[in-house]
Amino acid sequence: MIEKYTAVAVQTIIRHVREPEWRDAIIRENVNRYLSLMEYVSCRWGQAKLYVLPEFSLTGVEHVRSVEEWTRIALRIPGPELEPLANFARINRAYVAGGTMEYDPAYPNRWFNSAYLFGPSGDLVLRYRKINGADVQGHTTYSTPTGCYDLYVKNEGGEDALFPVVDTEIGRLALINCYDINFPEMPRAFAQHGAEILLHCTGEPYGPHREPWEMSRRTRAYENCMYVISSNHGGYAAQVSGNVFADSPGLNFQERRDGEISPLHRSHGGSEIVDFNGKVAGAAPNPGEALAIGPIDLRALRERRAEIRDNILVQSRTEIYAREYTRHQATGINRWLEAPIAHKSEARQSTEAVIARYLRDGVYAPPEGYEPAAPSEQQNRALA
Amino acid sequence: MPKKFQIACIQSSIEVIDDPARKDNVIARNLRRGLDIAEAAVVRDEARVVVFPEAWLQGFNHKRTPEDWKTVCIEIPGPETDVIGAFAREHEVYVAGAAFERDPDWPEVWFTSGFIVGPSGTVELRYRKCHEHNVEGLIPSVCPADVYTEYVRRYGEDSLFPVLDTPYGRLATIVEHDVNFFELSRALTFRGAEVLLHPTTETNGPMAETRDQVRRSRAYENLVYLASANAGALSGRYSAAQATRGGSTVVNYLGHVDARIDGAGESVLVSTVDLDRQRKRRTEVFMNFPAQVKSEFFGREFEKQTFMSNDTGGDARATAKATIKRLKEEGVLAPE
Repeated sequence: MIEKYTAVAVQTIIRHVREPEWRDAIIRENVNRYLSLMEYVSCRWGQAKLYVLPEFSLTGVEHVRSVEEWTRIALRIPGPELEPLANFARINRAYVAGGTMEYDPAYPNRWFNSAYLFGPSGDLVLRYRKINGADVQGHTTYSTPTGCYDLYVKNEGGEDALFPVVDTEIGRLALINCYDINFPEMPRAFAQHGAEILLHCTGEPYGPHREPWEMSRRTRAYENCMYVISSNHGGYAAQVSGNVFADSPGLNFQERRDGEISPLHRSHGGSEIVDFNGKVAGAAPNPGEALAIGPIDLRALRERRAEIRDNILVQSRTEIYAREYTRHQATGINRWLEAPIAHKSEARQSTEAVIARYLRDGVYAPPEGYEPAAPSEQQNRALA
Repeated sequence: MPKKFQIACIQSSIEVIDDPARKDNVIARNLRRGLDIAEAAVVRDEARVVVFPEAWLQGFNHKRTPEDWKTVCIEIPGPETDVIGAFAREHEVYVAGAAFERDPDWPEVWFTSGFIVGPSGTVELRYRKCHEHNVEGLIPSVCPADVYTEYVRRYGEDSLFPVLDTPYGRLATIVEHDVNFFELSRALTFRGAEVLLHPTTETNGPMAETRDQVRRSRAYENLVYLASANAGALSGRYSAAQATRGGSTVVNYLGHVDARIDGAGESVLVSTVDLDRQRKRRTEVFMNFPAQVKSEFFGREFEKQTFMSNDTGGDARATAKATIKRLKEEGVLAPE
């Protein structure tokens, strides 16, 4: 066991793949930038043991794109594009995690928003597929394991496959992506599977939710007595065309506009290492390229977990709540078991149906003058 | 039903019951002083829901013997809530708080209980604190889970997570330590809660800032308002006057702080609850966590692991110790 070591969240300006034929070159460019910054850490700060990269950090995310095209742009885990990161882990005897869009031929016509972890042998030691996100928000079309639950559990050899945790010399590590952190149930489920350090590959944009979303990391760390390492984007540079990006020098206004699917600084950065008391132990508070570097003290965490006082994890009363959860019907599973999600509106409609049901059954009260829209056929199906 | 209304957090000064024999006098003074300053908020600022701190009537004195604790308990409903009821009826308001409570039909145990007294003048909601510091050996009360089977037999399962439908939205209480446990706020949200009233006692300490963030997280992840009333100045033999850090807060359904008392000491906070905007927000898909959460899926996950078991009786600290030992054996916690 390595009791004390340095962890790093690596925050960069991500280059977006817009033109599929540029996929390989852009992924290479993103990978190279991460490698440079990780090299910088080892030169400037000495050896770090754990590096965390953001969500979809090698391709960016293009929200308007067919499932078919996504399956061609998404990466395999493991795969040739990730090889340089695996090599870095091997050469530096370190752990490297990150998020990427993934295609797995075992799931035709689906793609996942996944995260990977390479260990000091250079081998893939953990792979996680995001459980909460596009399937309830409807901003893009990746599949989630819960969306095709029965199929997923059968293929992956059991329910535990949804919450993978790996026991290593630097602690018990787990991965989650972005939106997952807003659900306190997620880190708790990982804690039940033994997780001590949660690697949160994220892509959080500016918005009115920024502060409470960031706070979620600290609350999750505190209520589960775990480290949370959140690695966010420093910015997005959309591809204008070829090897010209939204932040390339010499672009005129119109050319720059053409590249701006989203503003360069849509993302607020703010990568963080949060300790098991919910306190920030290292941060890159701003957008742009930066490193959040902080200490991990595994012994201190394990001692803390054996104390009763303010140990929210141990004090939990799962028994009185499990039934409250199981008998309440919010969003269900297996929504896309038969037919994979084809259009992002399907997810939106599925959440709309839950809200409509909540308003009907009194879980939510209607605002004044609220007229429920006539439910579509699809909603009726979801309601049934 | 009003679209919006004013809510008041009364950061009361509290006289601690040091001598159980003088319980009634002390409680009467705490009641009088609390309701007097609440009256200002109700008459001047038109507050319609008023929240008092956790131990508003009795105060904490950790030198109390188990017998002393039982002596200082009140009954809910009882003469004290009748006084509050007269105030609530006169002003047509809802008054929430929490107190150490004993059910005369079940004299072996006592609870920390949240309550809401309504314009009817009666106790319209009673909630027994689900997460108490008895687990840390700080107070010899019990939580419903400690005596679960008997509790449910006496009061029914629904009594665990009560929600009160009022003209000022669906109100529920969570008490102090409860806020740290996300499942409770979620369960109340599932049962329709829109405004969580949080009588609390929070002291200075290493977790103070974390606690502030936790309140905001609960509001944000459930799209609920959360109004925390912390204790103000304390007077008692063993109580530092400003031991509680004040900081009573109203958090809105986006997790943003609408209003907050800066420090410790007796004070009042009045803020607006915009029910209509909250309800409109809840009809939107975007980041609608209570609708988006995969409840059944997580419920099945939670069924697989018991942390603190039910029905282990009053010595919750021993249960917590045993829980840590078992979790290590099961590999949920790594060995030190």
